[in-house]
Amino acid sequence: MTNFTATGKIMSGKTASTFIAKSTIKASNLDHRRKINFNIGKYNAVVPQGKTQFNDLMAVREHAKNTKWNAVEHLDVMLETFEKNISARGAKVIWAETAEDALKEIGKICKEKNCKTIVKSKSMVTEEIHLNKFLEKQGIESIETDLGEYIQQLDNEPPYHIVTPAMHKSKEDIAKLFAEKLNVPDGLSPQQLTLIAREKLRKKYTEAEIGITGANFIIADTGSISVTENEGNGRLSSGFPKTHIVITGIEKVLPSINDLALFLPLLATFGTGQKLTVYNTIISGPRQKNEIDGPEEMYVILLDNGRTNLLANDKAREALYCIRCGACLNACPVYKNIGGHSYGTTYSGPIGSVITPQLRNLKEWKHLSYASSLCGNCTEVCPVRINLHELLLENRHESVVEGDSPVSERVAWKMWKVASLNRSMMNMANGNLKNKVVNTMFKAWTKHRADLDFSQKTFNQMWKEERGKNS
Amino acid sequence: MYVKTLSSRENILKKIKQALAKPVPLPFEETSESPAFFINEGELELQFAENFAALQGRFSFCSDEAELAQQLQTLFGTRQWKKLFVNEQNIRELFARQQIELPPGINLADCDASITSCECLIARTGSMLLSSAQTGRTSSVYAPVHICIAYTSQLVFDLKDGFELIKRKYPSGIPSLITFASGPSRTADIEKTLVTGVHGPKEVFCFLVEGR
Ligand code: SF4
Repeated sequence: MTNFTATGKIMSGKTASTFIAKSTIKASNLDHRRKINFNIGKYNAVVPQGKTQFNDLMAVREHAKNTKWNAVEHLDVMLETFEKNISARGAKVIWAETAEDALKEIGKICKEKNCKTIVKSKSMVTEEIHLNKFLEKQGIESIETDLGEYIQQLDNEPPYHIVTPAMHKSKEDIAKLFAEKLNVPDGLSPQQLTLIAREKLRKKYTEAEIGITGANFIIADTGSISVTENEGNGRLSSGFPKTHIVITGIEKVLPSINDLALFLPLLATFGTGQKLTVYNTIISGPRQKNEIDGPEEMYVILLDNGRTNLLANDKAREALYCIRCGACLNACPVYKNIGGHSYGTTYSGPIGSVITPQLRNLKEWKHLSYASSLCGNCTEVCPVRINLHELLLENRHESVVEGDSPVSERVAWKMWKVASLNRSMMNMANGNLKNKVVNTMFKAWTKHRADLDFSQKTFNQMWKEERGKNS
Repeated sequence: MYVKTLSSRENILKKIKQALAKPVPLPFEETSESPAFFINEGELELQFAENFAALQGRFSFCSDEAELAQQLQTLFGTRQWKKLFVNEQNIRELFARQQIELPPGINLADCDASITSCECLIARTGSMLLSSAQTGRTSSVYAPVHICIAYTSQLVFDLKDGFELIKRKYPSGIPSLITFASGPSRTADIEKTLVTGVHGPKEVFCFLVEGR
């Protein structure tokens, strides 16, 4: 297992305690909770509208999971096919095993192009490898162009949420930030603030030597990448600069461009409640002969950075099906309480808690698999039906088996796993009794977690209901 | 310099192959071979108009090109748009046919509006399918206003039909960029308040002309 964090150092042993400390502060911060609940409330209001577009949503979600299964079970073939097809169109594919490898390759391209300015659209993978920090060190200006990311960059903060980066800021907070950093009057409206960002960024697209985007999907059969966005900054970043660099995790593959007909609406609905996100752009190479504009060169960096660890774990493998819609974050009571930054990871919320220990070092990050009430909300909302809460349990189990925890804790977690999956013990209990059991087992943990709130439905009841829908 | 990349490629592929030696079973047995994920109800023109308007797109139906010309002139007049950007030959020809004047030397960067065609219209989602082979990458996104001219023959039901059309039309390789554009550019990044016209166009018009 590669245990490197993005900076190449193994994290110090403080990760878990930092997490507990940060989350304690956040959970008791009422203002923070109000803002998050407001944002998530708005999300919850629109998602049902988006869902009405599907004829049979459960069938769609099952089909989507099967499609991702097919892609991931044949990942080697998929990636080779993608590489062959997009190379034939003139793009260059670069494979990067670690964050350092990816950064080195990007650094090389920047040097070659004598790059001073980069326009960047939203990409969690660039957060994962800490690209901006790296570019800053090279003296390259890297401008976040997604409005939410732009706000976060102004405030020198990482994104708070994988879909809504500035979710924890009120409009007053943002107006104040703009006033401080951009020399504009305080108290501007969201419309005015947006217009200011538009004006500031407009020139940058045509000045920048390089545009960097992520990819929501990699398409094997046509050799394409697909970018989903509402603002147009992704289209501009891949339209004007002479060089376009795409950075993406190797797991983003779909077998065919036809699969997008389902995955694009699915991502839109579960991400933001839309039928379709405003711009869904499918790029298959740099500017071609007889096209009038577009970059002269295109690079696609395929990043592993621990993903093959997840792949090798046949239980956790399905976490690679994730389309990063953010639904499980919005549904998670723990996320709502402690917020995106407490996790201290690029990917927060339930999916982050599942993949981070595997991507990084199980030992350092195993506390994340405890950052869940195991209420099962995440599993219920996931568009590709990833069994998130089961995987969280699995991580706990693994960290125990691998002997990362003290003996007492090991015994306790073993009991917890048996108990929470075993009919006879936990199912008889209603929520209150469960709380008591867990609280007694993990005093230290629950002390920091405010109230543990278990659903009155038992785990197995929910499990069965969920399973019942499948058959 | 290529040595490292080559070996990274091999290492990753090797790790993948090793991992996949232990397969996991198909999650769900598919019930029917190809269920209809979306239902096609009603006329495509109507579906498109409704869905596009719901996205704050401005829709107008024209029974022929003469009516289109009339409507465009009225629009340009009331909005006082003079700097019109066009980079497609067929639109130039259409304007010439209908005697709409196009001022020369207009820049995309400071135009009032950009006028383009499209590959097709997606009725179900109210989207225009635009391509780099036809309109280029930037003309439909950098202007403050995007005006798209389409014909009723270009309507299809779903994204899936759009992909089929593109593959049929460009058998030796699809354009380097295609995009489904659905209404004006928007953001909800500030307290989920909807604001249009972030980086892309603030207003999007679709003139749907009967025929062709
Ligand atoms: S795990 Fe599922 S719900 Fe969570 S972000 Fe990924 S796809 Fe969305």
